[in-house]
Amino acid sequence: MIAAIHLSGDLQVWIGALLTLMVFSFLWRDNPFYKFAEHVFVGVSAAYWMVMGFWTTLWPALVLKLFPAAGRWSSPEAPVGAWDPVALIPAALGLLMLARLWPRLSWLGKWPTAFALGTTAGYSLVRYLRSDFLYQIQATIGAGLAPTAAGRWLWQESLAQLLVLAGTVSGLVYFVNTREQKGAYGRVARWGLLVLMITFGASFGSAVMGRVALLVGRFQELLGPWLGIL
Amino acid sequence: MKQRVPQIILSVTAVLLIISAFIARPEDGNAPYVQRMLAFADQEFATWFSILTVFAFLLGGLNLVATHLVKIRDRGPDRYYSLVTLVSFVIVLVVGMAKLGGPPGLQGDVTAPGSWLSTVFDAVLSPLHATLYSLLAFYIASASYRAFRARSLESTLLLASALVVLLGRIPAGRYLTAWIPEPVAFLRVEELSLWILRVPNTAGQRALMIGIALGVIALAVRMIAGLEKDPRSGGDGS
Amino acid sequence: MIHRYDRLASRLESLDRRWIFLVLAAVVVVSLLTGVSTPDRATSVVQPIYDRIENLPAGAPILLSLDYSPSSAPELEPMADALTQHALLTGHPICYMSLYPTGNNMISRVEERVIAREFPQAAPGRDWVSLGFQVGGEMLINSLRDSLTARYPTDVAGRPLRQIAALRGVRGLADFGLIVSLSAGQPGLKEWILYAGDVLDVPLAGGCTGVGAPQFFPYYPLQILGLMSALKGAAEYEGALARGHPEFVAANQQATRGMGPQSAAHLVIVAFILLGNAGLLLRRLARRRTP
Repeated sequence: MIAAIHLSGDLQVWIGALLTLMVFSFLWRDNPFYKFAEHVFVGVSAAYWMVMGFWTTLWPALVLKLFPAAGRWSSPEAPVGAWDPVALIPAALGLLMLARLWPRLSWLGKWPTAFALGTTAGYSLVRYLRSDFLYQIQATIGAGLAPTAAGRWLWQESLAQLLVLAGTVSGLVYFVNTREQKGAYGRVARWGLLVLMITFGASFGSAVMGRVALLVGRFQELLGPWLGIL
Repeated sequence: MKQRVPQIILSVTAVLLIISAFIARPEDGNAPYVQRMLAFADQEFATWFSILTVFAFLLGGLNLVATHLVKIRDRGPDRYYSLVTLVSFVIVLVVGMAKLGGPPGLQGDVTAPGSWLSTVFDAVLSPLHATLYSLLAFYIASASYRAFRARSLESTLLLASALVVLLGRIPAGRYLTAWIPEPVAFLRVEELSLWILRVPNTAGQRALMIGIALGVIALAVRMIAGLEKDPRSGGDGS
Repeated sequence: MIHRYDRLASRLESLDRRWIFLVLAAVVVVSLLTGVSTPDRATSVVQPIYDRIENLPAGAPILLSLDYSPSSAPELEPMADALTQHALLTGHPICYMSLYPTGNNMISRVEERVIAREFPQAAPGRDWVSLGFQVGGEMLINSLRDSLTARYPTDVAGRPLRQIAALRGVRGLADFGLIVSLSAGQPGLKEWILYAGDVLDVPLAGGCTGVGAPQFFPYYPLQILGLMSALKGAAEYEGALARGHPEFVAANQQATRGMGPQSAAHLVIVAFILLGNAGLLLRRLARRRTP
């Protein structure tokens, strides 16, 4: 049950707790404390992402490939190899991206953007076709509509498979906008809409679960490490 | 030139990667040149993309600094908050780039235990990040009260499905329907919620997924064929 | 004339939302203080993950990708902890990595909270290794397909991968006994499915937040062997772990403890939904009774 309060002596915990309370103050109304916390978050997270991107990726994948001797600063005992001229290509593309900062040269920024779009399109086309299209169709009808186990017909599994098949097809029919949804076609589309409503309801229920867990986590941090009650 | 070169880069890159998805990676250095080139593209383009992403972070950071400096210069009403953002940004950037507090010099992991960046993460970034997202729990509760109404068959189904999932995923829900006998145990709320997720939810999500996949494929093909026009480019190719 | 039902409905509809915030906060705090928790039982979607780790060949390494940030830690950290405990108990080396910039810190937390406290005999490099975060998301996964050293020449401590005992025999992703992605969004489990699970012959499992859970059920069981969803999924895994390895009591575990306040909050939200619909019902009754 409720124990005595034992306030933390750790400055780190206090800073975290005070920032937490500043953000929660927004629930009453917008105020300077919340705005302060929000602006700190923007500045800190932007710099954190830049720092992590540089040291984890840019340094080993680009800087050390172009200037291997620089590796002595970060790993004095690691052997120094030869430089990789191929690394000039991503270096050039990266510098072209920065050209966006100058209006006259901003058109050069389209080249690295085009490379990024081409890479994304090239990788994702095949993967989406396989995983989100072919395998989904296979999972819907390929598993068989009369599963059995040890010679017994699993009627519940069969019914579930049939419902998934019917729901998927009717949902797809609902999304087709090029044909008027009336008659038998319209009834199938309506069934698809009802299936989608159940889907969105399940999504909402799950989303509530997710958000509440975050709230519980914050209160655990306040009541535990800060106030020492838990 | 200004439009054609980017389109050529996009199309060549994408086509190389699509073809490489169907060609086996070479086992050794004696594989045909084309096979080795495609494997190179498949491997290296991903790394180059990651490098470009870091440059995009850099661009974003510079943009952030410029935006807030303008607010301070123009003496806008929120200029002191802009100062807070800039000061936080600069402090973390210096602390992180110099790997302060960690192993000597620039050695080791930037988030090594004891490093100042780790301290900033634990004391500032983590509590702020977590608390900002946890506010949504309150707003979702408020929105549920105000907007979740059973006005029609569709909204009733949505509501019923949400209630079953909400109750079925908690221990209290299990106790609510524990009295339902074994032969009809599938009517217990925890079984119903799992059934909703595995059957109608799967059907609906699959329909969405297939539709989105077709959209992604169509967009990729249009981009490769040069049919997607960049809305920001003018007739002069600027 | 305004029917009394209409008056009541108006009062319900005009309730200040700050009362809702207060009730929700109070219920969560009280249930945290009372500390009620009930061990859970693994469902058919979570149990296959537990069974796979139990039945892995001796010494087969597990890749655990912590693809989340502090905002999703309350749901996904218990999963990371439980998987770490299970892997170390059954003698499978764990290789940690992340697709999120905050991943290095998330990995450090697991090390401090679980490995250092509960497995002090576990040696870095032999029983576990951290590769950390790298930019790229799905591009990173694609790069690691055939060779981890393509993007990770060393671990976060600077040790070359070929010198790390935990990764002996591992060249690319397909050499792991199991890959598990604990995913808060994008990049995450979906990218692991598209770029690793469906491309290579490697078992893939996932953990996800409540928000993302419904979208992953279509992948089960053909493309992922199991799915832990939200705090309940983590509690189910803890329950399975406690049953299989009694030295770990589920009631002490994070997710199981969190299910008490989770329950209370859900009941409050259900009550608010029913109260809101009560207002709608009152309006309809008032319309019927008003001449």
